[in-house]
Amino acid sequence: MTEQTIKITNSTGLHARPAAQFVKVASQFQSSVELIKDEIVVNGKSILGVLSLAAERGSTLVLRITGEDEQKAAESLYKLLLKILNDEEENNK
Amino acid sequence: MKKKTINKPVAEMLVQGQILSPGIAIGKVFLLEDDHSNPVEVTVLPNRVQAEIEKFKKAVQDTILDLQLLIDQIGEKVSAHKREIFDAHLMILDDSNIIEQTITKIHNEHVTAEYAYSTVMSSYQRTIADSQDTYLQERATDIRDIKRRVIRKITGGHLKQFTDLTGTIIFAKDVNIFDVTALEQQNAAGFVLENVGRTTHTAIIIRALEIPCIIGISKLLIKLRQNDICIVDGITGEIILRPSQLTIKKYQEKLKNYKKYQLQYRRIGHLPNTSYDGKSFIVNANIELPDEADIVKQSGDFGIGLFRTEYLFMAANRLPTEEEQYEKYTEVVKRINPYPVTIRTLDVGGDKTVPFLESEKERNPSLGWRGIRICLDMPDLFKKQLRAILRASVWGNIKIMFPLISSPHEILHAKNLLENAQTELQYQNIDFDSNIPVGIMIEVPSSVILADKLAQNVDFFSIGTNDLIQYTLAVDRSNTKVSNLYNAFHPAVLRMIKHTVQIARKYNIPVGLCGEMAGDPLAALLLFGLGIAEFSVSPIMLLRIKQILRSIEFLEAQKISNRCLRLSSSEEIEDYLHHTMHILFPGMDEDNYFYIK
Repeated sequence: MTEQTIKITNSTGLHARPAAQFVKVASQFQSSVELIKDEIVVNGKSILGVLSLAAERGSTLVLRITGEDEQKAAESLYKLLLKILNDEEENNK
Repeated sequence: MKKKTINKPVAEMLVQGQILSPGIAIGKVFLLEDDHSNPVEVTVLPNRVQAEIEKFKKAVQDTILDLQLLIDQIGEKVSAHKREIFDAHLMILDDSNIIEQTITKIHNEHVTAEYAYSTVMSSYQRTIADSQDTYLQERATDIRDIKRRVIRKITGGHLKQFTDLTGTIIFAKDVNIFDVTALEQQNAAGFVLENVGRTTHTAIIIRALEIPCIIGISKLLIKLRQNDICIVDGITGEIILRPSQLTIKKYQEKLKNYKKYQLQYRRIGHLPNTSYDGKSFIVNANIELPDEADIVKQSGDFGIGLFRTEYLFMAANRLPTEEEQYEKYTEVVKRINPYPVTIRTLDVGGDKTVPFLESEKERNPSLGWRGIRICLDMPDLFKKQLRAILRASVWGNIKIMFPLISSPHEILHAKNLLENAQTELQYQNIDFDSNIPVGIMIEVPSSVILADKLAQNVDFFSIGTNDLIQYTLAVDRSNTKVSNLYNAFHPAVLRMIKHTVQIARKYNIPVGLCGEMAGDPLAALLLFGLGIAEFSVSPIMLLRIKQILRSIEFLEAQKISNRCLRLSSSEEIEDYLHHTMHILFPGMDEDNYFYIK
């Protein structure tokens, strides 16, 4: 099992389009993918799960991955999340 | 621009709505039932549990197949870009969480498949609908539509089957994307909907399919009877119920002309923009929603003279991010390229309120905190928009336009902020068009009088007649006690326009006109003659205005406008213009100018 913590710094959080993008990538892995926010755990392969988390700015997300290809999944999903959640912040520096 | 009033029989009823998709339809009312289906909790015997689970799985699979079939059927009628909308539906249908939770619920609680699915979907629907975010709220509508569809599949027999609907107009509270496509397949002539958001997936598909549609009507459905005759006028936004024989006849004529002109116009869209005697002009479109760019493109070789950006800000309960704005601007610019797109920076305040701006209630909002004033007071918000516009400028031909400018100082201030944004982008190595033209709206009398001072600081003018008329004549058009005083043909308004054109010419900058007046066929001759060579009009008027300008002589238009300038009342001017139009366009009666009020 791997666990990584990500702080959401952009102003929209993990919304519609990025959420779909995340789910698509997560679904490519065998391992189970979970996103956790304030003790709410959702399935990272479920679009409605991710949307209902409606992660907002300033909150902290935990990405938990369990399974055979967890290392590979953790690496690419973490990268993707960083890109989605911090994109704008970087642009504004 | 007065409309003739005709005494109508009592039975005829006219309802004003809002245009979602332009066009005209005459037909019979077809009431689409509201299919809210909330299955009640029903338990099943333990030996039936597995069968319920299978039934559920099959219903989901069948719905996916239905949807794929719809995508195929609709395939060529909408762009690939629009088809992506259905991806979201497929993802929700196929959502592993939903499927697992539903199966678990059936398994553990021994409930029916429809009840289990309904409960699971409804909880997600509520969470997402509560999110205070319009983008997400609209996904809640998608969830609801899918839920209903799958439940109908499970319970069987209730699936709506539509047979030939040629000549019918669909009335409904709301309609989902499945039904829109199915109804279109059966040749439904038009839609009248109570509440469909302009930016929902359903709305986008209706526009893409070019079915006339009016929205924003309330309490109309209960007054309807199945098979009543009705007319949808997607040019004025009117719905006429139980029209008299006379009205039907009038509209049959309008419809015929509309179709005929549409065919003729398709040709006109790609012809040169020159008057009969060879004087060049430009006709551009005013748009609000990015997908309206499609209508513009279908019409021919046209640019966008006014891209209003307010909708982006009014739709959500939060500020749109730079990224979201960049995406929307890019979408439009790429589609319209190589023709120019003039993006007007945020113009809210006055009658347009934005939820996130906690402005105080003003005693006189049209003279208050609005337009460029808000942007200059909120540099962070403004900078985000400017950065998004600049970044989008690499994809085509963008111009920036500032609204409600009333002094040179405001231009300098706004341009200063624009330069800051440009420096930032340069520093970050982000590309943008460094020669992006910057212009202003001329819509306040002070900007007309000071036009010489303003012209030295900008690359173009665009006259916004809606506000210019209100400020020049001191008339609030929405106040029915004085609205009759609001008149585009008022001599004072014409002189304002004339003066602006003269100054622009002196300083050698282009001047366009983008208010409603630009799309009024009656005004086309007059404006062209006054020296306006750029008309920015609603997308449905593009070809109409182009046709008029192509068929007249500039010298003739100049004579007409000179005569108008000598007249002393709007009544005289209008009468004279009507008279002239009759002579120049004999086949065209007042209604055929295109029903502008």
